[in-house]
Amino acid sequence: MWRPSGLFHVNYSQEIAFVQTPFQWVMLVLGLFVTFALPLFIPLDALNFFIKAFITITAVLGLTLLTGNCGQISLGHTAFMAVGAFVGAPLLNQGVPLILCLIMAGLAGGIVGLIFGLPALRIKGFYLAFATLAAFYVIRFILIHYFGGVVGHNVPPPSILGFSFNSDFRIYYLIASTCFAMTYFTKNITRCKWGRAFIAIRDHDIAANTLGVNVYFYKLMAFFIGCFYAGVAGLVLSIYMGWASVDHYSLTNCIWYLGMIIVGGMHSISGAYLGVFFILGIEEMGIVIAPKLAELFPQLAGSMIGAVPIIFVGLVLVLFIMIEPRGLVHRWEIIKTSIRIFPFSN
Amino acid sequence: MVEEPILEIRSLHLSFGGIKCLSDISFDVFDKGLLAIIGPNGAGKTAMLNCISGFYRPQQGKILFKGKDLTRLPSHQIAKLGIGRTFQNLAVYAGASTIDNLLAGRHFHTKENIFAQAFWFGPAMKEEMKQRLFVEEIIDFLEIEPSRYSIVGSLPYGIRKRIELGRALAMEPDLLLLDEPMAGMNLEEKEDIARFILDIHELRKIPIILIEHDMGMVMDIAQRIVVLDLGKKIAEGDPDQIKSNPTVIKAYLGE
Ligand SMILES: Nc1ncnc2c1ncn2[C@@H]1O[C@H](COP(=O)(O)OP(=O)(O)O)[C@@H](O)[C@H]1O
Ligand SMILES: [Mg+2]
Repeated sequence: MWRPSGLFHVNYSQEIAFVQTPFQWVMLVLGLFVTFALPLFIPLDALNFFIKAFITITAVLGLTLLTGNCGQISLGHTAFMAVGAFVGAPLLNQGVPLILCLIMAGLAGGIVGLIFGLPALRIKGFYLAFATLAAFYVIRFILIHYFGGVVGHNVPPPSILGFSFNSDFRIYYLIASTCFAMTYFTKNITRCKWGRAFIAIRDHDIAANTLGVNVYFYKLMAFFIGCFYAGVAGLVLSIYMGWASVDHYSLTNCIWYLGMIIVGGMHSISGAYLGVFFILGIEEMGIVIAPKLAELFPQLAGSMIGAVPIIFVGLVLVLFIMIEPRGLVHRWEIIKTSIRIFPFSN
Repeated sequence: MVEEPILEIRSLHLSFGGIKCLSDISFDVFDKGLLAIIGPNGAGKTAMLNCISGFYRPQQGKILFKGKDLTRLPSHQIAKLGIGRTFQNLAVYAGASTIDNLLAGRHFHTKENIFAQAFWFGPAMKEEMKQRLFVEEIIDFLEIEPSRYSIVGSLPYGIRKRIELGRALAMEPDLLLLDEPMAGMNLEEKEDIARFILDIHELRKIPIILIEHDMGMVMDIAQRIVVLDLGKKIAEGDPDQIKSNPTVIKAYLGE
């Protein structure tokens, strides 16, 4: 965030505060105002884009903690979202209050995530990626066969204090609020002992042991917390869709989520926001451009529409990994520093 | 001063699939003592420390710390008992700032409840302040103020070594294990580190086990020296005894 030169903290509490400068206060209030006024000014497709973005950010923040901070790669993130939806949807149907359903969805995602995180106690990196990939298919199988099948569950519009979230316009507020609440939790987790324990495990797990960090415990907790986010995001997505179906939680999305934290910059909240908007933006562009390309190459038209957005996103990911593996946030830090030390920057 | 051993190593045996790495090692570290372990490469010095911090499980023997056997404890619990250490190959958290590296060393001194914390940062804020003040004192002591906010991975080697030392100090250990803290440094940097080690030992009264290759340095600062060669203890004594010990001279100079 913007910290102009000439800003000096007089005590440590200011330094770790959520908002550090009057400018940031203004930005925060303005940001919240714009977010909540947005639906009044933009067309429905744009609104749907933002709804999708906020749901994705909620899920990706979990991955920011699990993969970005704790270094545990997961290729099964959407499966834990599905768990949240499949646990939360029947509860909503029975009239359980929305907030409670969201918490239950999060807990369900978290607990299942913790169980499938157990291999992380023994294996790392590439092998762990494969174990979580297996988890994805196992969970999908279990959900289809024992928890409602391919049909899934109908999700009625939930309500809070008589206010029913029965249109996209209204659901937007539910989803944006959930996303901001989860963002606030993420900030709090990363600036305390837990966040540091996660980073300790990511950067050097052996040394983490010698500081008294119970590596097994914190790894499992990273899975629990990361998948809690997934569970919440999963239920919120099913509310938006009006339906909880395993098909909403695809493997492609798991990979895109990892792509988003890579593009954004792995371990920071702003990275999650930037990455999600960037990748979804590119995907949108692909969707807009695909029909035009199809006109140019009529013989390929059939396969073009679905493939172009995926190719676009894939290309962007490859470019990022090659050119700026530390993500957009890192680039932004560089720009910020050079502005701050202007005119001494080169 | 009553000489009380804080750490007792009792006939320790360690082997990896038939290859003997440590055989029948015994020695004591006394409260407020500065013990150096020396010996040629591959002598088993690092393996010795790894047994103490619980990374290696010796087949035989005991390691008593404040009277408690460590050989079956998981390493994070050994740390909590009060053993801090640094590594021969730097083990800092390269992706985090200096402050966060040191605060990570305060892990089990930091009392924070994740659930309360996730909702309201208030109570945790106080705790963070307390830890931060403690860490600031270490930053002053190690003279790394300018690197306070830098990402550790971007700092020079010598500074990173200091940060690793600071992280171990932040644990408020009752015993500090230092594995070649001066390796790869120039003379000036070595002297700085030697000064810090002496200060830690004399002002903070923390007993230290130091592994070091630079003989001159060891003879200057150690109170007692244990010499290992090929996994065996070949000598133990104060610097003057070691200097004139024929077995040691032979091990270092060859036949
Ligand atoms: N994990 C291990 N597996 C097998 N052999 C090991 C292991 N760790 C150390 N050794 C062996 O033990 C001996 C002592 O190593 P080390 O303690 O690193 O020596 P140094 O005194 O140079 O620190 C070496 O011969 C090394 O090959
Ligand atoms: Mg060694």
